[in-house]
Amino acid sequence: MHNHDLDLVAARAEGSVSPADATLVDEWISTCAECSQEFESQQLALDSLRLVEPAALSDIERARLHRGVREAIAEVQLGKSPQAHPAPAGGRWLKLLAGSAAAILVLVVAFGVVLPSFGGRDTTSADLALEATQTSVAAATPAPSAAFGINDDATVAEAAADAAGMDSMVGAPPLLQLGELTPEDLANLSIPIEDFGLARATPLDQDEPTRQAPLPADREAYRQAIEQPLTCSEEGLSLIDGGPIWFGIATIDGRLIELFRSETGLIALEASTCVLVFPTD
Amino acid sequence: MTASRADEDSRLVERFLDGNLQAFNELMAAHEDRVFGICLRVMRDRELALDAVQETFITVYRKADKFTGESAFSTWLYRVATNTCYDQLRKNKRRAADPLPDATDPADPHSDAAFAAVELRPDLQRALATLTPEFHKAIVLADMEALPLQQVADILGVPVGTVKSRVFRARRQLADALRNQNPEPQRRNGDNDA
Ligand SMILES: [Zn+2]
Repeated sequence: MHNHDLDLVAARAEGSVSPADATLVDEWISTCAECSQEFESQQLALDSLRLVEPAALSDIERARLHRGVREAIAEVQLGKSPQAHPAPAGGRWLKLLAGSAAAILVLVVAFGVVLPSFGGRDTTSADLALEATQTSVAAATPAPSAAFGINDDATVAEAAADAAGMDSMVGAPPLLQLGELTPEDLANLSIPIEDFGLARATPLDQDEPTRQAPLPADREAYRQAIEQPLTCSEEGLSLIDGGPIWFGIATIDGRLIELFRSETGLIALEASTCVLVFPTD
Repeated sequence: MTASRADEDSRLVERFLDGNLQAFNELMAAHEDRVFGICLRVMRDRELALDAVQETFITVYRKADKFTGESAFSTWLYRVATNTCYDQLRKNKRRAADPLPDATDPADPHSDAAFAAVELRPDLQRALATLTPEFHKAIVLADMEALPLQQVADILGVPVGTVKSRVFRARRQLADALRNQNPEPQRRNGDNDA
């Protein structure tokens, strides 16, 4: 009966035994057929495995991985996943989404009602703004959207993102994605922001209802997620009207526009240049 | 796995749990190739491996607060990856030990790339496919990914001695499987197959 330690022979093959054990095992290998075969087997396996190159992602695979993870994280943050984890920052995101989305929905619904008194336009950009905002609300807050009878499926969020000029939903969505707007839409949006106290009274962050800073952490997370510049500095923004609150993004002629709510109404700045888009005078 | 990498990972995990998405991106960038390597060796298909890697990082995103810090982040991550890969194999009703489709099967447009896709010699591929999941995991982590035995033990949740034993026995079975395929002396990589 064979009474040598085959694991010690295996360890000898990989070179992980003490010099004393090496001498002992070498003696077994030279005199014992079973130990000799074990040693050869271990060497054969090791030689084969050592030839294997480390695997690495190709550039295309890496890009696909990053996009897939970003999209999935966006879904988690939007509460699409049944096991949505209260992701880091996600809880606050969702509160912000709920708060500001509700506020803006109120604004735009009200705006749709009062619009005729501001020049008699009855559809077009007003409806566009309403539709865009409702779409964003549907993407951001499934329960309220259901209450308003808005179709709530995964493609809504994607469509809103596409309308905002992005390839896909990103890791940290902005509070509202209003899609493509015209300068007139911005002007019209500003009226309810100025005139409707309800919107101004709606806290953007339930935890910090009095905060006036432009949400630097969330804005920074968004900037990183979309990999596009948001060039306005926090310091510069804080000088405007006591610090406007960042609440969303839109595009105008394909240019990414950051939207802020200030004490005096809407402020819109082009993301890549920080040029003031609204108000214009 | 260097101490500085582990320290950096710990710092990034903390920042991520504080809400910094960039920290998560950095963690992913630091580990995505290794995770892909593990998944590729388990799944033996780049597409399936890529899916598993994505699922792994999404799980990490959702469950980072479950990471206790008792082991290195990478150990926890690779455990998530290993479990994810074997879960997906089960869902796909395929085992790591199942042979891949015949590489010459014209019905599968991707099959002729099966060998190239996983970057393994076909005989080694087939030999690996004969291993049980326990032995396969041990070989993938310890030999193919060259992780320290202690880390493999932590990933698999077994003592180091058990890992050693599994690795030795797995190599033994692997050699037997290789010999059964090639009764003649083994050709080394790069020799002419003709
Ligand atoms: Zn012996």
